Amino acid sequence: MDRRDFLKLAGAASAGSLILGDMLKLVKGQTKPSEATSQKWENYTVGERTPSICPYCAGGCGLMVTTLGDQLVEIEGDPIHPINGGALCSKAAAVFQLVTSDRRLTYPMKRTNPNKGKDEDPMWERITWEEAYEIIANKVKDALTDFPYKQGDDYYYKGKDNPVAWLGSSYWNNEECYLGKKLISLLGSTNVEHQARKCHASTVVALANTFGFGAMTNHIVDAKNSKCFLIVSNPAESHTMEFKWVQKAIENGAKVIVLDPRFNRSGSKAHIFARFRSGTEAALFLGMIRYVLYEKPERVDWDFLENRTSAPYRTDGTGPYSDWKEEASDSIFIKLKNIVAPYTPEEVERIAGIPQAKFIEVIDTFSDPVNNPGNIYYSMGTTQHTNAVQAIRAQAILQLILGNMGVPGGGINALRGISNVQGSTDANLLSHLIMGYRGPPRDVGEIRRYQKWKNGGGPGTSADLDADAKKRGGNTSVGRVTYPWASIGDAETAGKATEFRYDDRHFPTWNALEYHWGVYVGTWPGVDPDNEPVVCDLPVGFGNPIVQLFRAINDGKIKVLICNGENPAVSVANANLVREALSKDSLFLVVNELFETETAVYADILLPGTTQVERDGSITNTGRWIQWRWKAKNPPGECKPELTYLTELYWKIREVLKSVGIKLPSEKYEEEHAGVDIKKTIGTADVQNNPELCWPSRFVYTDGFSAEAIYKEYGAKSIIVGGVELPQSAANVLYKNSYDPTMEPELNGILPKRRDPTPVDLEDAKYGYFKNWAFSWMLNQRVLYNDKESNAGLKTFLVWFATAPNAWLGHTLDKAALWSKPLHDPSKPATNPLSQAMPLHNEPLESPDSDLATQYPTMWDNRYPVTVGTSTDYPYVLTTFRLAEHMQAGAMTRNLPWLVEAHPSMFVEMSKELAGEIGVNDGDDVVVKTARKPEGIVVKALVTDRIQPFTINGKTVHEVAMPWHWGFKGLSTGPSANEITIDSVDVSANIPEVKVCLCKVEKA
Amino acid sequence: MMNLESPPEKTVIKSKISGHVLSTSGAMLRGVRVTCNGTETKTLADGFFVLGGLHPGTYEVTVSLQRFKSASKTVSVQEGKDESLSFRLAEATENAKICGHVYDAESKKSIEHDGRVILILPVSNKYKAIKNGYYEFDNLSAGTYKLYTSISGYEDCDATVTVADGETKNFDLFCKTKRTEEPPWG
Repeated sequence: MDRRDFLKLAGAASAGSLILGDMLKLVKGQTKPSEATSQKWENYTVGERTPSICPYCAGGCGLMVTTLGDQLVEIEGDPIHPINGGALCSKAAAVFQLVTSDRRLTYPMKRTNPNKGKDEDPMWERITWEEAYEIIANKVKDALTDFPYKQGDDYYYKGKDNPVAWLGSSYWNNEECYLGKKLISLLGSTNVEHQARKCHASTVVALANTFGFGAMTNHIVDAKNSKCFLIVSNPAESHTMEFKWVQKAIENGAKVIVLDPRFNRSGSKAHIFARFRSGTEAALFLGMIRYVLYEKPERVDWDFLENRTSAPYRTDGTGPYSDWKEEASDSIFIKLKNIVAPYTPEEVERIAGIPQAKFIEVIDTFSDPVNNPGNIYYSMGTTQHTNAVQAIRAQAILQLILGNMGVPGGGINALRGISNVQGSTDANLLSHLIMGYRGPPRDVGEIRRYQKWKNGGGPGTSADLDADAKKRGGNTSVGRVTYPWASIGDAETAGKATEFRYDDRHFPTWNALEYHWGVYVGTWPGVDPDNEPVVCDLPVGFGNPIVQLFRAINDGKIKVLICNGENPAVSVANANLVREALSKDSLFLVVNELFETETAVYADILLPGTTQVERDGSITNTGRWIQWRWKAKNPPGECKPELTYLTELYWKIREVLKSVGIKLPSEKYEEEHAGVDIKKTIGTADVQNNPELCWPSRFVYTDGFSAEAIYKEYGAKSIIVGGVELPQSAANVLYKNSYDPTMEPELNGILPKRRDPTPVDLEDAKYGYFKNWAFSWMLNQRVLYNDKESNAGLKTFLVWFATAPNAWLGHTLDKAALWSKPLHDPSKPATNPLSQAMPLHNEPLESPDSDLATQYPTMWDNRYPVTVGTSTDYPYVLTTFRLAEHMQAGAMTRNLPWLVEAHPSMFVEMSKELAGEIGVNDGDDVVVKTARKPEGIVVKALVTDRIQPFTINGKTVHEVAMPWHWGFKGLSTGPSANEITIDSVDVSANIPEVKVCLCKVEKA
Repeated sequence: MMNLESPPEKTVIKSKISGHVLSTSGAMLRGVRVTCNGTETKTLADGFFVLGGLHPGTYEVTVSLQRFKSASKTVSVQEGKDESLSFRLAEATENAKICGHVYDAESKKSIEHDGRVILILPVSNKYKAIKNGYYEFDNLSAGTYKLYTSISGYEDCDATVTVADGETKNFDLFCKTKRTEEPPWG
């Protein structure tokens, strides 16, 4: 934290609280050596205090880190932080142990045992960072030796075929995620994935296709504005400070409804709790929509539906129709009404096992106007299914018909799991996106169109084509071919509205990346884009999503995997297959971690990472708040800050690759065409295709090697090059304007650094937006789609893809999509929601009831082989859950004594009825078996009333549940739930179906 | 009771042989089987191996990896003195060939547009462009190979093909069109 940041903090203090005033006095205290734990109070009077953000869940709670020199004294809740107000959950309270753990890795190592496996000792040997980089770079070089940079006459890398892959990480800061994406993209690979695929990939697809953006619509503090909560999650454990605001709302009279297969801590605070069978969320919410539309139509927000959704239109894009509520109108609304008709309370009970009376109580309470605005919270229980996108869409549609969208206290609020999983997703560490939810070029046709756009015209055009070309870096030579459609109207006439919208959304981001990454995208020389060779330094085409990625490793397609802050040996469904892949001789595995994890055991090179209090940078919480955390101390030993690691690694790889002629496609083109010097001219400036000139950022020349330098290109409001402003200055369009040098100069213009809790106006004070605290995407709007929020921001829905390919709802994008064109595949059978472009219920791939499985067949499309069991062999439903005291795959908690003591071992929860049937007592060892691992895993039985049998389709069905945090490394070890989970995925989002499969439980 | 008059047993200081195995083009070969007078180990990711606990004597060290020509070297080990031994393995290129056509599985028509067939090898895969619906990998050694296709608009098609020494194996590949092209979520 530098002086100007402290000054800003001081400014907040004068407008803020007395507590902060006290704190500042402490910040300025002298430093002297002291025993941290025994002289805590004395240290407080002399130490330095640095604000940080918790590294665990995505709540974004503030920490205050006290240090004496480089000695960590204490980490406490930040008393002025709007989200947690000084309070901390059990995990956050243990960050001190995370930082000071003597179990941390402190120097690079390489394995000396050539054999790999769960029970193989890697026999680590200490090496230097330079030795590590040398080996890694040479292995990358070996893998890429024959990888073609040329396809026919065109120069580009096919991203999916690239044998080098990258994982992670949601624990990294935005700047690090961004650089990681930059690094692997510059190697020509789209084989890049991370935790987000496994937690909220379905959220992104569902919400983006319904509203425009795939994120939590409201934010954490906003819970205080809710009158009613429908919670399909367990925030009391998984997002504890989030739940603090739910409790605040309860104090204000709000009602809380919790739906979960097992009674949990959130349920204990609920006014209504109801159980349902895992995997039936779509049926539940379709039933709720039906109840409102058919039984309580007076509760529908008809004005909202008419004005802000596609309800009055037809699926062919025509409309709006004045008779849209009538059957004869054939409107999207009527289609929805027909779709939900079968989901009566009786049918919902038959499918989900929730008693009709309870189900009616739930929806009757939630839809009651006295309880508006109502808020839906959900997380993995909804997102990890083969039909997860459909279930989330059903939730979203319920909120639309109740008019609960775009208002404080309402919304669809995806509770994301890891501290920066929103930010890492925004940075698109994903195989099908390049940056800010824009895709990479999918084929050469798009690149040719992009060159025409660069040459002038089309989306974002001015009347002056030359002026467009100068800003975009196009070719202004006489006779050049420019973009063919001047407006959406032109494009529609030509039957190209889809392309126009796509180009409008993607091309400015590709243009920004060309500048920021020092690459070239287009045709060369750019005069005749239809016939010239394509020269594209961005990788082309989508890569392998996470489950498919490990299959690709097993097949020998991937030769190098660089895994950062990820533990797939525990966290990926059917972890047996992952571990098999990691053991392959054909794979070279690099792991960067804090601890020796289950994945690290398979590594060839193991590198020591740093904790979040040991480096600067920004992170984005589940409510889209981009907050800054400052470095409080140096890391131990030889741990390298991630930005340094990324930079040194990239330099070395680049040096080694260049030494053998492996270069960017544009460089290869130059090499093979004498006299060609590829560059683009922006304004009066020639911009070279050379990533070395802009690594890690072009701002490094003004800001030095720092997180700030990277953030500036990530979130820039305006960048002038050669006298003209770039069409899109921010590398990530979602973060645009969050770096604004005209605002907050004392914070270097980086608005996520703001720490002023003072309301900006009465609205801010009323709703608790905290608009001077950090920054929120988009444009600091705190409630997405809220047309009444005072500042400029995202007021309307923004569903850029609408109905038919060439029909765009009256040329507007501002209607929420009840019917979703991108989720439409008429070739599917009528039981598949894709055939309807609206949600239906579908059974999980492993269903406990054959009748239901026939009536509501699974959406799984056999895109790759999966081992599937039957209800005869595996009669019980298995689901997984999180504990308050442990984090995801466990490395950051199972190595900490405080948390291990709180939750020491792996277990399975089961009902007393099931325990009685199979002769098991509480505390017994039991074997839980599935088709993925017929020999099963042995865990402790926890026999509890929290779980009870369901009656499904007239038959008793038992469900059991287990946490998924454990693995074979750490202070507390145990079998991983993912050794037995199923690895089928949602067919639209590729997220694994880890929340439901079939199992058998026996006494061990 | 210890006999203080008897001479102490001689302690033999054991030795080791270590080294690297690279390809002739300099690639670091991982998983190379290294055998030596009945003992065996594998190379690490950087091609390094170590054979420890060796008594003085003469050893023949043999290294072998699928798709590469095996090699042997003899080394004499003296007590307490470690030996360094490195290898450069040549790819086992012989006269076998795998070739064939790539078809649309539904229409049975040859796929003419840009795409590749990829041959899986231990270090660096081989990529062959499909020309006029035809692909060909030549100069292969006998053995079993995995192939897969990479063609825009089609699912990847995997195949396992066994080819004998000197054989030309015709193996046609049938690719399914992508049933649902992933929409541009961005």
